[in-house]
Amino acid sequence: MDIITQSAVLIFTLLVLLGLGVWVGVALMASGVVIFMLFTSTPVDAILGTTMWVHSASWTLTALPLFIWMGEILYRTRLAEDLFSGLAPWVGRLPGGLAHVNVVGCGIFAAVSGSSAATTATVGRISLPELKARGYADRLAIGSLAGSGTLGLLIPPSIVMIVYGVAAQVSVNRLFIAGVVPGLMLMALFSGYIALWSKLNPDGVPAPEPRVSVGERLRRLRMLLPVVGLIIGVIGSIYAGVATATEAAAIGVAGALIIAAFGRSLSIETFIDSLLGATRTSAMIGLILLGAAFLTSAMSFSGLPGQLAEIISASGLGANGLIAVLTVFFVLLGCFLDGISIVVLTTSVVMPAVAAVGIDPVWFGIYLIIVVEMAQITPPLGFNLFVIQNLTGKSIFEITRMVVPYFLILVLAVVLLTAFPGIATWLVQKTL
Amino acid sequence: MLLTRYIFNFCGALAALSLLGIAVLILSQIGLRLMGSQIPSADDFAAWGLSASIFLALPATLVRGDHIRVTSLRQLMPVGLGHAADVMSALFATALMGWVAWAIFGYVAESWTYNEVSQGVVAVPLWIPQSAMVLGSVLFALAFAERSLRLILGLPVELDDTQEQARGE
Repeated sequence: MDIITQSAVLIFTLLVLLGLGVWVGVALMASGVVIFMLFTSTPVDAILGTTMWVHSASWTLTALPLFIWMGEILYRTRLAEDLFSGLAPWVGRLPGGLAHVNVVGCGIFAAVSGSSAATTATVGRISLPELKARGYADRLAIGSLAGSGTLGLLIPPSIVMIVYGVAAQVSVNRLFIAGVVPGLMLMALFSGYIALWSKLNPDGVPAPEPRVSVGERLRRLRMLLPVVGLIIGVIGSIYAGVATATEAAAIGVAGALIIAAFGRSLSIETFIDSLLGATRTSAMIGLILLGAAFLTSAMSFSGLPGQLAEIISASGLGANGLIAVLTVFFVLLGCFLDGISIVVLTTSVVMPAVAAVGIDPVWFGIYLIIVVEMAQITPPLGFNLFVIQNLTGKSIFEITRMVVPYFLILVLAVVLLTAFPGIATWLVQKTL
Repeated sequence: MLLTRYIFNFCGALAALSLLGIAVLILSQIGLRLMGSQIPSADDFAAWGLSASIFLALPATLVRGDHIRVTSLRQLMPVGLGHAADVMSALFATALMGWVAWAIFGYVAESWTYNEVSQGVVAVPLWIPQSAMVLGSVLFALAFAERSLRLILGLPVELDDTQEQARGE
């Protein structure tokens, strides 16, 4: 059967099922069944059993629930309060003042949490009321939080990176290392924009914070030492090559439990809550991953991705052309689909085409993560928007308007990453 | 109907224990490695623990409304049509997951018949870790069936779920 019919059937099945409100993992699995039945002569039940087993009993994937659990534990500690009081005296006198706490706080929390929504929720819970009380403009406070919260995906550890690594068979450790420099670059871009905006809109920013002595600043920063220790333990062990992502995640869980115990926020109740929360979240992601794995195997029998790759490499589109087309496509998709679904659909359909035009899979992973960050803040389905809506009670439409500049900064980051691929690949080549 | 909630929550608790087990196993492995020793086939056991954790938690996750679905179009529909779409999605998922549970059962039964064992240092009959997949997928299909029935009877199914879904992102 030709590629046009097959693509049309796939798109139609997915659109109808997703539009009806069928669960994403179920819809992916159903599309796999349809592809198998119409375009291959393979017995579908046999493949299903194997796929479910091989892709659920996966050593690499065990990093995923552990990192989720680590984030769940830290979410229940005093970390957000400590981040605010520790960082505030350092940035209070910069142009843009305490709005930079959003950027730096999200950057630090992102380095112990793999989730963008958790990062936004944890930092925003403290910073939004504090900024409002001091008279910062909502546009500045909310926009910078929504933008910086997406760093949870890019700065390792990252749940979406593990999903990409497992689905595209790329080393999770390499992805984690590749995410560091682009993450720092985005922090600098966000902070730069905050400073610029504050210079142009002096009404939106209150008078600078009173000066705090260096001794006092350092004393307050000391409260962040345990978290910094945890970041060094987790990311450092991966960076030094002594631990796999799974082992680093287990160390992270132990470290997070110790921090919670010393901070007196660990009780039997919070322990069980965090464990159950992590279990459900990983089951949710697991269902999508299993659906995608089955669809991928259906298409490896039907040959759609391979034919698509041939067409794209014969079209003379080239690497940059493909990235440009994909970016527009992903931004549209991101309005309706969540990040993880975008990643698994991409890896099952366009990965061979990406390889065919000579794009490095690690670089492509980082690119994809930044595009998924955009999806987090595009309405109607943008999880960071939901989190902020819940924190502030403002409408999605209002929040979206405040987020536009940060969306454009993410677009700029994609342009920079494409022009200078070394931003993602340099550190990887340096260490591994 | 309450009985099913107990069963789903009980399996969810088993899934959580399985995740806890993975963490304990990997931490002990790291500790033992530092002392120059190791747990045989630890990687296999951790991977099996993950499979059990995912499958056993599927029904409880559905009941709590944590599984992701696209609701943009659904929210635009008038009440009656939206309800019809909900019933159809639930029935569709019941049928598909019923078949999935059946196919997984067939796969595991085959692995039992041919006495397949793991490749690692410790050779374990694979049907033992695989049976968690059977239990989880059967209960998952049952959870969808219960959901369909509740929707048709007009009983409540779950709370608003967008906040919960955001956890993984």
